[in-house]
Amino acid sequence: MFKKGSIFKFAATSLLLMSVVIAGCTNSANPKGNETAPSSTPAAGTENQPAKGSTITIAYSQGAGQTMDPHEAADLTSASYALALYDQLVTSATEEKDGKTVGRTDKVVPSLAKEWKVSDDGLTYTFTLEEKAKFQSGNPVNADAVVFSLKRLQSKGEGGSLYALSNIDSFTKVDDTTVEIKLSAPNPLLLKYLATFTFSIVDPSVVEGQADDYLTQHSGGSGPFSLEKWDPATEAVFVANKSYWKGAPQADKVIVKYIKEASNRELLLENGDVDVALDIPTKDVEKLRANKDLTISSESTNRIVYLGMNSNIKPFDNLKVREAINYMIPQEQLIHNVAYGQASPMTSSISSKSSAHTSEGNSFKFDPEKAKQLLKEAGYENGLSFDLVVSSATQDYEDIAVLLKSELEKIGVKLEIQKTAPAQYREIINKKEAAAFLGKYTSLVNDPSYHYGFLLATTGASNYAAYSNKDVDALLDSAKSITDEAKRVEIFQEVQKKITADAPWGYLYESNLIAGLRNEVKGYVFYPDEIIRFVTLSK
Amino acid sequence: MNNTTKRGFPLVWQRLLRNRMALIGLLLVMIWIVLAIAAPFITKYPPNEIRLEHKLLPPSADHWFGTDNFGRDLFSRIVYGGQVTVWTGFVSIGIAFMIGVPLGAIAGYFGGVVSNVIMRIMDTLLAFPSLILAMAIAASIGPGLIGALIAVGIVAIPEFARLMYGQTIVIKEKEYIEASRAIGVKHLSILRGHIFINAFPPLLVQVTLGLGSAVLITSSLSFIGLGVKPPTAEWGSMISYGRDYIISGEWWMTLFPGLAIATTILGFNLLGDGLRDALDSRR
Repeated sequence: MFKKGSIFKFAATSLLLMSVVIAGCTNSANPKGNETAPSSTPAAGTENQPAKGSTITIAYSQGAGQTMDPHEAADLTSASYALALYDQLVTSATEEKDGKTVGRTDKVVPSLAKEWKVSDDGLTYTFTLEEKAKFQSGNPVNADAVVFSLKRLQSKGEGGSLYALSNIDSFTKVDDTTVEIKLSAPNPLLLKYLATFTFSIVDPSVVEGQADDYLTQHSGGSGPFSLEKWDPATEAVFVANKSYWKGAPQADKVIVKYIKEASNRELLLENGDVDVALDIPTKDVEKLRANKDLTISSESTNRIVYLGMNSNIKPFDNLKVREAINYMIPQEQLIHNVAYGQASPMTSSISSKSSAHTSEGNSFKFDPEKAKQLLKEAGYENGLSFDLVVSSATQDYEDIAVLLKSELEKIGVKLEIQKTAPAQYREIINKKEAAAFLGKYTSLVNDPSYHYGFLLATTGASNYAAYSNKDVDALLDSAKSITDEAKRVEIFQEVQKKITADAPWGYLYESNLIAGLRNEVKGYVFYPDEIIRFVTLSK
Repeated sequence: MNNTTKRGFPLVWQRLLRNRMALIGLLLVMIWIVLAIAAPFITKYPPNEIRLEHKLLPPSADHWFGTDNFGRDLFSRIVYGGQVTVWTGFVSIGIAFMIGVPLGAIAGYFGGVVSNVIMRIMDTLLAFPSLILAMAIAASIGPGLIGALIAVGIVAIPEFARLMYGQTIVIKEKEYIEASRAIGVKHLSILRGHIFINAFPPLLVQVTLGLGSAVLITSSLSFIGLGVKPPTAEWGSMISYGRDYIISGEWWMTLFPGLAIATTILGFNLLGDGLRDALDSRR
């Protein structure tokens, strides 16, 4: 049956494939060598041989499409790089909870700025910089560097959009260690914005005289690590900044490896080839927990998973249809069978991790009879059909869609699953062309103003459901200049009630961030923004 | 001419049945076709019925091939998946046959510039690895069964065109063709009545082998998400789905669809090889 010809063909193909693979290896090896240690500080040169066992290897699920530039970073992987390479004026707090250290992204503490004063009208912030803060080049982190960085981030895509939201009108150097930031309108979130990786302070002496995109592949900050080498397809290597002004980090080296397949990440973790593996599939959490060598951290984040329904597109122009779909969401089933218990129910348009969260006004529960009734009132008693756009990036989306489809079929609603590649998916939802889609969102700044400004304000950049309610917009606008926390909470609870009543989304669940760690790894701190901080990790 | 083929058929059949390998191939192919057609009658559970309380069950008397993470019966899904596979196989090879054979015949029969143009286009198509070409075509049409069908069909066209071209060149030099031409038979009639009929045996072999590779390419497209839409049962997408479950121990989610693909392709290849031997007039 297998003729000589086909055996020869097979051998030839294998040979060809092998040679391609080998060629690929040698090709990628060369640039890696050339990119070594861009920020060639005298300190970085001496620490190239880390002590044995102090290298932490982390397996990430994604590698492509990122940058090392903190002002351009837009995904969680790049964000963790920015926080390893740079410092910000202020940073997120941590607290001890049940014997564990956890991050508090809703509280800020001093970092490069040791103290700050806010004027009574809330428009002027005066930051005093820490004198001992030094860049890896040895230069002090001074007011010039802060002014330089704020100027630089305005010109970058991602940095620019957050800058635009911050209400910053001007920033000036008062003296070497004092910077004054003036706002055009009060912004209760300013300090939280300044704590994000976007507002990283970069070293002017590294950037000046280089090409504009120099920081995309090089580092130049005051952070705990510097970039040793980076191959966006395979791995990034960070070496410790031994003279870090807050004290040298625990690990000498952090290696980030990009391993796309979840099962491969799990195998590498189980075999001890990596110390930390991120994005562990929910279904394997219980199995991995049984392994005595591993610790699985599964913590609820402010990531929400929702079903967006575009009210400009039939049949979702009808409120009753959107409500009917909301009555058909089997939250319990989704949490148990898609998220395998590693999630909690979503009861409002913002995560329950937010201090303003309220489920008031949300009377939706799984009730097919009620849904049928609503469809009848909407004039769809003979059923309806719609397309649900899902990204193929995560298996969870398809699983959710399959379950929803089977439930909706019972009340005569035909759901067609449009599974698309991540890039295509983003294009479709960005153009607001999807009648219905599955979306997820993690607010980097854990505050309702930021959350709603992106997701459900009429002009929100991520308002893929094309939701628009003038009352909601007015409430969101009014909250922007109010600094009294209790008043803000009141406004955002009103916003939540209005949004739930309009039902632009079906509430699915709030998913956990799951990281697998080998027991010898110490110092893993979970932050609700899902960004891993390398600085505390040790072995 | 027609008589010879008819008289030849029982002979070919006899030769085929004497070839044990070909017999196994025929059996495998028949089993899958029968299963696919009889799917609604032999399965206990609908292929897309979700029964979460029965999820991830290993193979048992109730669920012969186990269940998946939604509690769907894998035996049902594989049998219904066979419908998709058999259907896409025949339709896509049908497309390739209908387009490739006439093109090859025209190129071979008329020669000259026509032949050059057609055959160079075919060479271009052949220059791409078939899966890569199919991926490109399917991706540009968009995911879905129709896209996959067309992609697999287009990829198989050059095989048929080249085979027909070769056959036509040989047959058109035969004396009886020359005689037909001399008595004024039209080109179309010659192509249909003489050349096609005589080129049919090797084309039949190509159809059988082509079906095997069509099954493989369709499954591969589904595996990478360019085939059927979920939750439609299809072997390639079932393997892709079950892949995440291999290390957690649910081997049946990948093993059975994998075996289904393997046996179908093996069946078509054995049958194709057997047919080639049986149709070989020099024997």
